Amino acid sequence: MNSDHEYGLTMSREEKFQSEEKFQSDLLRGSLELMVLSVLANEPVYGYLIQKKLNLISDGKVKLPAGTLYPLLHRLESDKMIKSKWDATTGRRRKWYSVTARGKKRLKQQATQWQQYADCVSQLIASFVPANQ
Amino acid sequence: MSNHEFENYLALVSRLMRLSRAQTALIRDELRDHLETRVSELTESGVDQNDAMRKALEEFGDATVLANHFQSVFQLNQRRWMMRFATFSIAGTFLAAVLVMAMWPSPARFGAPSSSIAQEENPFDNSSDEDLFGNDRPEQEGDPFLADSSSVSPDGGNLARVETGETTENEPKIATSEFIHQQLRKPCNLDFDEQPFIDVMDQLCDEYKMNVILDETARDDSLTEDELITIHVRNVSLSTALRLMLVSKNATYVIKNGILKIISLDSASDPCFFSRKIFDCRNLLQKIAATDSRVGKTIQVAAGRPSGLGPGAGIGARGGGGVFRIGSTYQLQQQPEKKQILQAPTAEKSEKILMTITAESILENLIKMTIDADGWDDTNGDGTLMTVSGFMVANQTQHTLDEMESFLNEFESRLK
Repeated sequence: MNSDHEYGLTMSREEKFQSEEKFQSDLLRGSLELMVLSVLANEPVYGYLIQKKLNLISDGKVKLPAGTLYPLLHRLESDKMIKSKWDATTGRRRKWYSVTARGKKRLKQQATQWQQYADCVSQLIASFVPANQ
Repeated sequence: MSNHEFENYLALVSRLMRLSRAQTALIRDELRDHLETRVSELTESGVDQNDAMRKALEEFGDATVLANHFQSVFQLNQRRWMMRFATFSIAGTFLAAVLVMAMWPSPARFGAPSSSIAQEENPFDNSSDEDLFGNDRPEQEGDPFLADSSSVSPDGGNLARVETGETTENEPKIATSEFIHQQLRKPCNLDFDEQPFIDVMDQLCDEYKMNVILDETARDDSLTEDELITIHVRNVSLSTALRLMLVSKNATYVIKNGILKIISLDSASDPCFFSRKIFDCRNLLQKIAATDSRVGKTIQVAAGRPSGLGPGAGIGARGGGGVFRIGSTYQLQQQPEKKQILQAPTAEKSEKILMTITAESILENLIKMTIDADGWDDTNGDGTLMTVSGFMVANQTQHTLDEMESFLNEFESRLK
């Protein structure tokens, strides 16, 4: 398998050229839960769709491997942050996830913290960010 | 890559996860959906079926890593459940212990004297060797009644021990002598044919909620737990039935400190088995004062003759309390509170004093002349009687006290 395993993030050969454009796994490590909860906040979503949405929203910068995503979903479910429901109306037996009230509360807390953290870091690094970015 | 390898990958993940079959099946279904969706999306974009499968599996990553991730999640879950179970178990055990402690009778909980042991109901202080009137307390040292019931060995004659029937919802009351007196006044029917004494007493204890002890003095007179009892009485008070049953075995009973104690008949006159009882005679004394013309008159009595005169004289608002004999020996005088020397009928010179007749003295004298006449302190007996503020305090045998109570009740009812 021609890929890198680093903190659960996998980069394929075709995507290597984009490596500079992707977030470092250190940045992602503490924010995966927040991102998954954010995706689930508006409507029920199944695992593959979560992965695609994160990839789409981040413009390809966040590519969450299935091997990381599904254990994370199961942990959030055991923590009662999200709940699941099996459905076969689409012709395929599929597990849909949605956020719980506790998950929404956690999402708000984490979102606030991250925003404050991001603002703080932004101020600190403002003079070091290239002008074209 | 064939669909077979696809299933092999899922089977490998399932096997490596080492979870329950149900959990594994659900995860496997979910992963299969993901893989099939991804393959279908890739093939729709023009990727070859085999390449699409290979790419989908590559994106999933190593089966071992994936299985470990799942396993760690479920192990975390198990640890949480174990922690919760342990916490609830400890909390439950603690709660159960607290409940047991709360529901258990407090004396048994702390090993204190059983609730069946009564406190002395006498309102007077019991700590000194003498009571308020200077009478010796017969049972201060080594008092068997004051002993903890738990310390009474089987050889010591602890026949039966029961909780008093007068209990509140949660806290059992300490049995009092008054409670036993109430029980003894209840009517009863006794029908026993050669029943062992211990069985008879157990039955009475259970039925009347009393504490009973067989004293050594009764044992010495051959009354043991195995003694066969035969008695048939109906509609009599329990005290009468009990006394009747015991007297045939040369025994009787005393009540003290909330315990009914079986003693030998001979030892009943021993002051150490005396009981103390307080009678409320206020109404009766008022009736006597209102109806008996002798009240207020003065008599001459030989100084030092009435033993009760010493400590009793001058006590109480009426200045009464003395004991005297109403008879031809003494003359009634009309000069109260006057002391003089008179000629005795026997021609011997002796000091005489004048005493005012009070309702108390009349009642005390009446009792001493009619009940156990030889058992009072002024007739060389050991019983004492004193009236203070309308309350008559007697220290006598249980039998005499019972008769006193019966007499006072009857006398008061007759004076109406």
